[in-house]
Amino acid sequence: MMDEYERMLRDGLRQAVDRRPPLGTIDPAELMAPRSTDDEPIGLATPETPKAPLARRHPGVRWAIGVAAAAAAAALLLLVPGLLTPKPIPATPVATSPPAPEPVEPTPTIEPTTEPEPEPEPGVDLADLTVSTAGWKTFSSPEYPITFMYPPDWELSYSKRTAALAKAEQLTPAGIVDGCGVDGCDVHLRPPGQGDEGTHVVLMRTGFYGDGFSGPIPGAWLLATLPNLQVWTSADPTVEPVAATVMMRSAAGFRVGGPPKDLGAPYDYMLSTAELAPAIAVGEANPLAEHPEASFSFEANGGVPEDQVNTVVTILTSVRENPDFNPTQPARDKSGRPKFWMRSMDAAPTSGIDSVDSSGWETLEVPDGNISLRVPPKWKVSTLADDDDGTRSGITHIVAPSGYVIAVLTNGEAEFGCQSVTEWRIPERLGYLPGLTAADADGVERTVDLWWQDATWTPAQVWLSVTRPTEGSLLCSQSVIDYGGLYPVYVGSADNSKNPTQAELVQAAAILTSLERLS
Amino acid sequence: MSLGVEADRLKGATAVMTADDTSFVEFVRSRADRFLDLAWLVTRDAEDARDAVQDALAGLYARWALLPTGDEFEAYVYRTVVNSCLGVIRRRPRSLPVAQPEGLPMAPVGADPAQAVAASDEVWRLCGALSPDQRTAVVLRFYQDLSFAEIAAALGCRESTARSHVHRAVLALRAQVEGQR
Repeated sequence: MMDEYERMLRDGLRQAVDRRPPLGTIDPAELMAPRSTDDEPIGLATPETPKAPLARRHPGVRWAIGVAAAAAAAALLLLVPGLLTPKPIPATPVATSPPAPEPVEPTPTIEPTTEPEPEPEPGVDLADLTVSTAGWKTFSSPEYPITFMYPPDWELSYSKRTAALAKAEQLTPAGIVDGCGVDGCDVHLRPPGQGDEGTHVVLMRTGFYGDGFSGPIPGAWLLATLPNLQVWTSADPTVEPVAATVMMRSAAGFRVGGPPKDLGAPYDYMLSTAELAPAIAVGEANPLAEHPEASFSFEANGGVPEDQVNTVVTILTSVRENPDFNPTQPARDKSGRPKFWMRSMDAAPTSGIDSVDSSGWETLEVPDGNISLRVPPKWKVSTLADDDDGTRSGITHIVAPSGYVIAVLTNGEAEFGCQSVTEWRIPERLGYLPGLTAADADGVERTVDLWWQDATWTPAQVWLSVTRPTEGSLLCSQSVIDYGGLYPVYVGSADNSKNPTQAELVQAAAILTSLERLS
Repeated sequence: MSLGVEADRLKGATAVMTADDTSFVEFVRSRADRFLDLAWLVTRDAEDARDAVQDALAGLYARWALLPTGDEFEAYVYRTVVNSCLGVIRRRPRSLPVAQPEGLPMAPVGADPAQAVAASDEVWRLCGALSPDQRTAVVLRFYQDLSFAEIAAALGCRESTARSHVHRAVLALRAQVEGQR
């Protein structure tokens, strides 16, 4: 979590706050004084004068009901692959370092072109909401499944990959594709002159890690239907395509699990379906079974100012299928992993762990958690100071020479979390710590297991958790464990931004498996 | 200050305080300074920071009785404050005023001041070069200690985008620092 530069950011921000000019105090009475209707707070409508959204002023619009959050929707279950037979974990490792990836020069592939103004779509009443596209440019790239039109003075940009950036991000050798970061591929469209400020219309390919379809968009209203644009919303071959829609949602927030509330302008706008699919795909045939990465989202969020709404809606409704789209780019490696991900580790962390010599290791005691851990000599231990108001931090870091961090946290809640195991997000249980059990949040005594997950769009991770048996469903585990101390404890990888070395990964596993209760 | 005294003080401006009003007052008193810090870090301007927080809190009060509870409440609050900060940034004129001296980090008193100033300067300079969304993600992550899910909710973006903002900012800081060595 806290390598040197993250620590610098944290300290630098705190120093900046310490030195900020006085901003006075906020008087609640002033905030509660009656306000005129001409002086509406930003982003919210007053209860007395609710401001109807654009959709409600337009005939034919209907409500779309938001449904439960992704976690609840993920009760539609997946089989949990790869659970190993329990086995004890022995003690220590060995070291290798993977070779650095070769840098690859990027090749720009996006070239805007101009096209004649499209014919009006039959059956779509958008006359009040769209503008003329005469003179507009067209975005078209074989890396993206759709084309769209945009005003000639709007600025199109995409994340540029360079060899240096790819190397810094530990990408696989062929990981450089313009527009694609480790979390996917995206193109940004902005109004003129605002630079990075203001409205962003973002086209993003979403299916690289299988989350493109997790849960509908909550709290969105249907603004218009595009009957001439059919989209796919599932890899299920029995599901028929549906008409695309333009949806809108209050940018001020939304309530999950119930009907959307009128929280007032400004609004976000997105291409979706009447059933609020968060990601869609286009094509004469459903591409999703073979190429889940053909799914995409296309939306303007952050709140679109009223003077840009018509332009944004026009952009969204100008979408067409791109016949030149090549879903195989960015490429995948032999195991099917996207090549722009972080480099995978050479082996699981328990490979070679038998050879680790921990005889010279120091013992770290964490009395609040009633545990101790063994720490290799070149790793550094630091404990974050408590806040100025006395709030305890409960954070200890064990930092490898590369900066990779194992965190020991006594500031969390002992409760189960469940996640769907997707094609890309595959945690692996390596075994249990012999002689050690712990009561889970339900009071059931369980083994303490070592888990790991190879690098994907995030670095490789290891952690300890107790796991609740599931019946071919979600993976439910609890990584904050009660060992009989004052507080339950998380021991595992922190939010690192880089992979460990292979040797450090094995050492990290050895640190975790050295855990013992103090009493 | 007890509730009774507070109710007396406000009687001229409003009717007798309701339970909602009381909870709002407590909320403002306990959180306003932290929001001002956040707004200062995002907007980098004292007046804008104060305006953003006042507008956000006034907006929250207008909907106070209807706001969600628990984690949704926190998400809603952060979203409102963040939107307000980004809103004041968007409304700025293109030409920015000359940097105000009080807006620059001062030399600290204490051990190794040169190094501390250098680090703080680097961070301040970096944050100024980030887009408002990226800067907000960095502030929420490293100053407010929010999770990526919470940051995504506050910014109205995907969690992966929030991670990407922070990750790229860290890389940019490293490149900035190493470029000067």
